[in-house]
Amino acid sequence: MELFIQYILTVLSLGGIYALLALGLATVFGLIGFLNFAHGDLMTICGYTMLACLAGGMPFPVAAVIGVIAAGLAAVSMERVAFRPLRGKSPMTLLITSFAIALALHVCFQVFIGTIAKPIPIPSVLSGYYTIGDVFVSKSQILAIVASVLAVLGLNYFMTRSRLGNNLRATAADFDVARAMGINANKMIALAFFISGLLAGIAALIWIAERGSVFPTMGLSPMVKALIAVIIGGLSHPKGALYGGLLLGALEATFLFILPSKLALYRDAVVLVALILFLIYRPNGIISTNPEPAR
Amino acid sequence: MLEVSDLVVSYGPVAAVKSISLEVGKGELVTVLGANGVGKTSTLNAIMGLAPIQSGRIVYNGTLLNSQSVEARHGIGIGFSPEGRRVFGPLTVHENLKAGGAGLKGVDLEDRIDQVTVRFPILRERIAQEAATLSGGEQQMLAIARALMHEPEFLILDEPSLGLAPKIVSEMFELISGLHAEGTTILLVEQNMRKSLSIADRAYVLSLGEITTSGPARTLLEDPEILDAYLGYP
Repeated sequence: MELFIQYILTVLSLGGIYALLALGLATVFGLIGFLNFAHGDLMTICGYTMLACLAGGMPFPVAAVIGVIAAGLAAVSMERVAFRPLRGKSPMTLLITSFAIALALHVCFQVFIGTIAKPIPIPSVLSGYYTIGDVFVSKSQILAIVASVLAVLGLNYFMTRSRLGNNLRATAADFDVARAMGINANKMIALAFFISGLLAGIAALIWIAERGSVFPTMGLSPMVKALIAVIIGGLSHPKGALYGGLLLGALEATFLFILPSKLALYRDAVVLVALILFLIYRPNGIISTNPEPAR
Repeated sequence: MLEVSDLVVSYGPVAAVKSISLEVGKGELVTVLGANGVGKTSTLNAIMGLAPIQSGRIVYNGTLLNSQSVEARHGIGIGFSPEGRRVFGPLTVHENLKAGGAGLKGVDLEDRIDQVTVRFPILRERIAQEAATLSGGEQQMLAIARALMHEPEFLILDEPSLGLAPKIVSEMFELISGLHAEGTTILLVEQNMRKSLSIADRAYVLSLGEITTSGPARTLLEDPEILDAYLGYP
């Protein structure tokens, strides 16, 4: 029983991070039809912003909020500077541009900040363990689960209850007709990028709370996982990203628990093989309605 | 109210519209008729800013629209119900109507939805239903209701009867006629020639991207030679 609870907590905490990142990718994909490969670097920007704020003497919660907002603003800047001039070009052009942004950011981080991981002091409230019976629950796991659930619920509330969220969903459903209804397309695209940046920032907080450091390519591995999550979830609906993230988390946690320790090195490979088999069986992902993006 | 002069619309090397000129006066209901693929929808999309204009001028109430954004055209009072309905499928009827009122400022959207749905009682019944699950006729009503949310002075309707059952088609034309009677200026693209001509003030007939004839709707409706020659309708 204890092992099962431990397993569920691992699924939710791992899946939560992947789901947050995947939701960010899917939000942008829904509007302009490409997967932003520089999405993971928004996590790194959040991390370095937090590092700077903490070095400046700010308390951790303030640094965390500023870091998350910085990730959101960085996403908006990416759209304004790099993607907007290419609006209407093929998704492949936008994808390659996002690769270029990711590489440029890695080089900038390495040159101006350094290649070595920088430690981020995690407050005691987020480090260490709780023991409930025989179950060990890390505080960072609790943060991961709570933050992911709150972010997903908050995003769902915003999308379904607010006027802006309604307009954003309408734009994702039919870009041209939304414009003909007076919905400002540029604002909606900027909003989608801002939301994706905020989600990446929250994912970064969880990631950093678990690992305690930030380094130039920090966002690469979770970004690749999020990419896998949106593909297995299906790109037609944000729920797909959520389910894909949780499924990926479940697969990783399962192999973490069942693989003998000497095979732990191959966990990612085993997960990827399992996903390939899944996609052979269900090529359009978990949610397989019309995968065509609005634009 | 609307003047289109020498409009040419091309998609790459293919000219969908080859120099069309038309006018719609305030309070008029003007219909554009023609078979499939003659450039009717491209003309409307160009007026709305959704199709590339190669040359020509589109002037609305004295304002040149050529370089105006789609959003700006909506903002100056042009309502649009596109071909194929194109309702926002994953959104409910209520959410679709809210999206139709996106550009409104200082207006209570719920009050406006109540006002607009007075003439569409079926939409009130389906208000919480996803638009994708509505019947074709209901979706068409929603597309028109959505366009009416900002009380447009000028309404563009692209094939509102396409794919609908005959009974629903009659209801649709009664609705359009009612909107016209209330003073809304309407530019209607249709393939249902007889019904369109029966409610329109004037008509233009398109063939292969060009206007081949035009005149008062009643004249066209009562001239079998014109009907036969231009519309293949004896």
